[in-house]
Amino acid sequence: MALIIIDGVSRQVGDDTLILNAAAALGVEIPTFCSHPRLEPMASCRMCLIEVEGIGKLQPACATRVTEGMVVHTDTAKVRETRKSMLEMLLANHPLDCPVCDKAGECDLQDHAYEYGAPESRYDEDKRRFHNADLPLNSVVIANLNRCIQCNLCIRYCDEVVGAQALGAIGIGANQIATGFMDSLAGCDHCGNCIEVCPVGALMSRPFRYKARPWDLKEVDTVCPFCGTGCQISVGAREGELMRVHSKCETGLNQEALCVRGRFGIDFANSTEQRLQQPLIRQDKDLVAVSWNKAFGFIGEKLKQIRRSNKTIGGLVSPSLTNETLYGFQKLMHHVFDSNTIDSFCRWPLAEAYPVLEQLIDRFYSRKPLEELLKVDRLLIIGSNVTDENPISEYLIREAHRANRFDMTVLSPRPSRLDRMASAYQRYIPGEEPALIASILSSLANEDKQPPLRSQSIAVLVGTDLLRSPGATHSLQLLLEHLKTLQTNGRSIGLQFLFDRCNQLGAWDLGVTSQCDFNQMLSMCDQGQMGMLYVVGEDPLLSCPDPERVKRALSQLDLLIVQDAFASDTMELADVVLPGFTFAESTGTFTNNEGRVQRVRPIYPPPTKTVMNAYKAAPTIYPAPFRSQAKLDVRIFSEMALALGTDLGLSSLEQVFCEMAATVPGYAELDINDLGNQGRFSGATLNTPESSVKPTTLTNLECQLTRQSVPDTPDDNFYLITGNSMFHSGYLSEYSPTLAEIENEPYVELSELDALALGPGSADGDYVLVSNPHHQLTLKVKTNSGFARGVAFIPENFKAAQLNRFFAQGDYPCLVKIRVAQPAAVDEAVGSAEGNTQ
Amino acid sequence: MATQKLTISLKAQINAIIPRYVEPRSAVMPALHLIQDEFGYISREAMEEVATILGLTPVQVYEIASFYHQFHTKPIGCHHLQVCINVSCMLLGAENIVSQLEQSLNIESGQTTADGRFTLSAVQCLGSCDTAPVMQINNQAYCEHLTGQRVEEILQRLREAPMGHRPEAFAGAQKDQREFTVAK
Amino acid sequence: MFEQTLLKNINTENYHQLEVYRTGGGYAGLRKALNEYQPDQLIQLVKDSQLRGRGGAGFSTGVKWSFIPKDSVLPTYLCCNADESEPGTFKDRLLIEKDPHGLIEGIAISCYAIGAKIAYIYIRFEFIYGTRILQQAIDECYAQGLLGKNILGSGFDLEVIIHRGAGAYICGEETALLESLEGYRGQPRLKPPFPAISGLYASPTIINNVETLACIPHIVLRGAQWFSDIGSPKGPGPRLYCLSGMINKPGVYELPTGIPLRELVEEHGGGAPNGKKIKAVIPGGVSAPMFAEKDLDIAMDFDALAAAGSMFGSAGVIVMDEDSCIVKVTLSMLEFFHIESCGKCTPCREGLGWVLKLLRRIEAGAGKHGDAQELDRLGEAIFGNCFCALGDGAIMALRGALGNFRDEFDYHIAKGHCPFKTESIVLHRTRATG
Ligand SMILES: Cc1cc2nc3c(=O)[nH]c(=O)nc-3n(C[C@H](O)[C@H](O)[C@H](O)COP(=O)(O)O)c2cc1C
Ligand code: SF4
Ligand code: FES
Repeated sequence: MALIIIDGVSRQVGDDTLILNAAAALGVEIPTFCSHPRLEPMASCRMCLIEVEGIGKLQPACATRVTEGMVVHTDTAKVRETRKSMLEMLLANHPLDCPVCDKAGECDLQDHAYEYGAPESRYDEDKRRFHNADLPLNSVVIANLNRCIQCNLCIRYCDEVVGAQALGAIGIGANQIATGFMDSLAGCDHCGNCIEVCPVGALMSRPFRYKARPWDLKEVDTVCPFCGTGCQISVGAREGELMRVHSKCETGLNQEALCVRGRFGIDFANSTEQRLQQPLIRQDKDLVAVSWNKAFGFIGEKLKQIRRSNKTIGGLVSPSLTNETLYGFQKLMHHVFDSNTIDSFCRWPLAEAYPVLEQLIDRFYSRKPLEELLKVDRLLIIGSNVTDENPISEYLIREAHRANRFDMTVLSPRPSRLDRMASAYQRYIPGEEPALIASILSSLANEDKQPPLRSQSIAVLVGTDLLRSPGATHSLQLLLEHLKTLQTNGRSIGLQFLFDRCNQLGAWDLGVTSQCDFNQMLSMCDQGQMGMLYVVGEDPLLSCPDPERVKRALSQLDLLIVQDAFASDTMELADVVLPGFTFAESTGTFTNNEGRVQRVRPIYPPPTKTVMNAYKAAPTIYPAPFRSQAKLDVRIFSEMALALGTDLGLSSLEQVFCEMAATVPGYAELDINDLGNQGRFSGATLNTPESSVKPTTLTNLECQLTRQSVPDTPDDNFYLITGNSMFHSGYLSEYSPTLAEIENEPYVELSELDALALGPGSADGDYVLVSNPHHQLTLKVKTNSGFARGVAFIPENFKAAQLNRFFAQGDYPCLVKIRVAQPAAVDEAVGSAEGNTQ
Repeated sequence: MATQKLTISLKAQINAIIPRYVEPRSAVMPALHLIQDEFGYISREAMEEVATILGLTPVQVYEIASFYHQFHTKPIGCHHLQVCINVSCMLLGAENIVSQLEQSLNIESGQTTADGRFTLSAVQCLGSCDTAPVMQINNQAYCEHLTGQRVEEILQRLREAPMGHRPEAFAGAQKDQREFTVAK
Repeated sequence: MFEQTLLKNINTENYHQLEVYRTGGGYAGLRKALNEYQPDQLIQLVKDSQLRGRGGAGFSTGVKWSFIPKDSVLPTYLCCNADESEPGTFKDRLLIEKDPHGLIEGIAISCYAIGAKIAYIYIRFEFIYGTRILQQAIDECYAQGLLGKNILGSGFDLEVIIHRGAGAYICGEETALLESLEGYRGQPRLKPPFPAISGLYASPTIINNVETLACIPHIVLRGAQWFSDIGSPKGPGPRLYCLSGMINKPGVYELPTGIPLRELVEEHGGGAPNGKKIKAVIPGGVSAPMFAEKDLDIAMDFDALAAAGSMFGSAGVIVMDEDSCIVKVTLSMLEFFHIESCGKCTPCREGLGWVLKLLRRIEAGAGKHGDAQELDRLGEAIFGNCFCALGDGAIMALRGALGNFRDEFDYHIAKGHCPFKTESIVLHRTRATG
């Protein structure tokens, strides 16, 4: 601690605190341009110069650290004069086109000039001009570099936080500009964080351009619905239309940072084309629109038959829905349909794994900020391309690594940006995880047992790739055993999952799992044991392996209810279709990967506005007068129960939450109206007593990690793996016009050498044919030097590609052949499913 | 504009530089020097290839190529006349030299003649103030003690010299080993 | 009569060749250092000699070396600053071209003293010939066991690597030099930490000028006392003065520190050509404010020059005669600083551009009443607020001119033309870019 005096007020602050932060703690504001809490100080704008007694020159507050007894003055004539001068110099070449600038109203230059600047400028020479028309750098970033004040925040943020290193300072001296390679950011992450940190209007959002003034926007704070990282977002809407998404410094784990999906993908909510507007029931093969009552009546009739036949009733609900929806669904299933057969995801057949998972979560899940979890000596990441799947978690890992310098081991089928910071990384084929886990964790256990241990504290992050892998149960089991051993050996262990769906942890916390997973439900259908299936927010026909089999199974049902906001493939088979709300209209909570329960708020007051808007957008689709009949999911459950004769007692959001909190152990302390702008952490769900496991000998499980290549694939086949790309997540993101523009077709990613080996016509951007006996696709090639040979990746989100056709049940990864596509095929079927199986 | 695919030998030369440094990134300037020596300037493709070799993003190479005055990211004339106009040379008439060259070549400083033979630049101190006024041609030897007549002679010789993006060392202007004025 | 040391053999034929250099007693200093001194003793020796850096800042070399942490787990580096770009300075180039082995010997001894196993020589791009000579000399040394592993059987290893700049004055600034060497844009770094603690690749690093390093073998051979007895007591030694501009005998002169500026330019340099009177003299490269003729009796000594508001800098002495237009000289200097500004900080990047525009219009005869005061005011706003010494140096240069020759500025503004009838050619010529 050091005692310092700032403007006459003394205070103890931590050693090495920056004067800027010490002053802020005392409520003294020092203006800055080039300083950012997440970045290393650069001290270049000189706006923050202040006086330190005993030092002749003014010192930059953003880069000078306090020392014991330091006396600082931030409000002397000299300091004021200097601020005025810096502003005057910055404004000398600044265009002052504020009336047409998107940043007006939230521009630091404008604000500081107002507060600290001189009333008029003495500069009467020509201003610098780099270009006349604004420069589009890619589909989301547009630049007016004449306005740039060279603070380099964008470049530094892109490098230090995002890790993309896509922006650079081009040129020297007064002629330098911040831009991408050859004035293009075509290949960048499109996250738009550079726009967010730009203190002036030099980098701007293209989708938001000239749409609205910041002060005209009504902003709603909510949580991003894409991956499980759970970033807080502020959605600005005007007249019921989403205008832009950004995030505030002081909210959430993301502190202003967002990835491309969060910043630009929420506009799926504006999409009306595929929105379900009315309940539908199947009559003579067709789905016809009916009233809610009629639909409920229809269900009631069917239910009677099913009850008589004594068949099972099952439910499948998406982990992208709110805790309240999940809770309501469970209650409905228990109380109305007397069913315990529920699953929260159809991509992972995890029934066997659930008991292990439960133990793993109870015992090791660290419900605390990722930043805290990462205060360790060692980090192990298993089964995730974190860069693409959970971008903001990746930012936090990068920053924590810089701060804590832990040893990092990354095991992932796909390369990510974390590889280059890792002490060791390993590519593998899904299915090889158990050996890798055993090897690494046992070597940790056998590390010099004498303290000080090199890896005293260990954090483990488990990605979705592990969960969808065929050996998942075994992997989790091994993980559990090894972590127990390490813990008994005196290591402190922290674990979190990196889910690709926003409320997966919530779903598990609430117990939306059963001994019977979706795959087993399908088997029951096959055997005629399943009478009814209620699917909420999921599209198994598109996401489960072997869709023909899914179709066959679902056709055996007496009643298939599909509830969703958008039309889905599975609807084709449904007997009843119920229109729900999208995320944008929903209210409730999500539990993120950290266990943080955060508030989801409706962006618009639905549904009138949406529909009104739809009139404008597509008048032919919704003949006036029309009102969408979609409802909040919980309300549907509640009304359905009533119609079927049961009162679930879920009338208000508060009520649902209270009841849920009372039933779910770790949520007892939470109050939905007091989640704050950081969310609140759920507690451990169960208290497992300290177990009496004996340390096991694990040496027999060791395998060498030095292996460079993957096992040979039979006959020049490739292992096909799938997952999320950086630009999409789930099927929702395809409805986002902005995301669709950024990445509008699926691709196949493979190693450079493999692409080369395919012969001419297989370079980046060329088309190849990917096929196996079940399916074939003509896809654009993307090469990646980090890929293991013999592995190909296709992103799973593009509906039209029907990627699930490649896979037989339980067959992951599957084998495919890749060859250069014939030109005719390229013209015809760019990236979409071709006539296939015969 | 011809493409600048790096030859295998050029790539090998770049790779050979990397071990001189702790980080591969440090080899970026030497790599760009090699490329500019080979092609006369540094093209987009060349920057991309250097980035790949050194594990950088293309923009990180572009930053370097654009920061330093002596890297050219666009083609320039095959004889680059760089006249020092800093104080000592200026006092001894560098401006007249520049004007004479501008008239003779019918371009302004900073420009390239239509035939691509000459580019004229006014540059900062070349570190030869005792022999002012000076110019450097194509990063070869310095031409010192310039006078109107010497400039004409030099131009004449260069006009007769063969064109190409890698002109031979211009020997006419100065002996390789120069005489310094070293006084007692 | 002063005995030349650094330039003693400079005109010996083929002195750049190892054989010739050795015949003249070359590498005896290195041998002596390796055989007779522990690294710490060498640092003490250089401290005792009171050698101050010849690159510009004039910091004590021995003291700088002693900042290298003794217990560092990281390797130590030496960087030789051969970026010589300060206008009016051309001494390092002379040493490199004519006496490369003197420099290499100095580097080797210095590396031994500070515990460096790798030395980088950052040489300015334009010194094509010098680079070639230096590389040949280095190659010769490797071949003869004077560089590489186990030098002269002492167990000391050293690699010397030449790194060429690419035309940026700012890369002479020591931290910008490090950035450039690492492969970044040559922009200065925040200090602290100072390079001796965390420099190249975040390791302890010493940066020394060519001339500084060239002094080292002589100090080792002849002792600290010999060195500190030469010239000014507080900054002793021989020094290479570069004389240029309106002077009869331009060139590099080796003379003791502390000699009066007047003696330097009038006696050694022979005064201005054609019998003209000297009007002003810049004593240490353009960043050092100029003196008017009446002030030339000042001693060329670090402290005396600093006390007089100027600096010893790189000892680049530029002479202006009675016909030289100070406004034009000032404009030329500011063009230089503006073009060479790295663009990192606001006052230098934006402020110098503003100053320049005012100077251009004054020089072109379009100055407005109040422009001189405006220059004062901008100087006030910029000076002391810049990130590195380049921006401050520019204002020092401006102030030197404005302070001593304000009447010339006023004349230009009032009359709209130059009092010296120099043709008014607009000076801001451009460099081919892109
Ligand atoms: C803008 C600027 C340019 C400089 N240029 C050079 C240079 O070209 N050569 C040099 O030796 N020092 C130069 N210096 C000084 C160096 O920063 C540093 O002080 C010097 O190399 C240290 O070596 P020395 O102690 O041996 O003098 C420059 C400093 C500044 C601020
Ligand atoms: S003073 Fe000039 S050269 Fe130095 S950091 Fe600032 S802009 Fe760069
Ligand atoms: S905020 Fe301190 S210099 Fe920019």
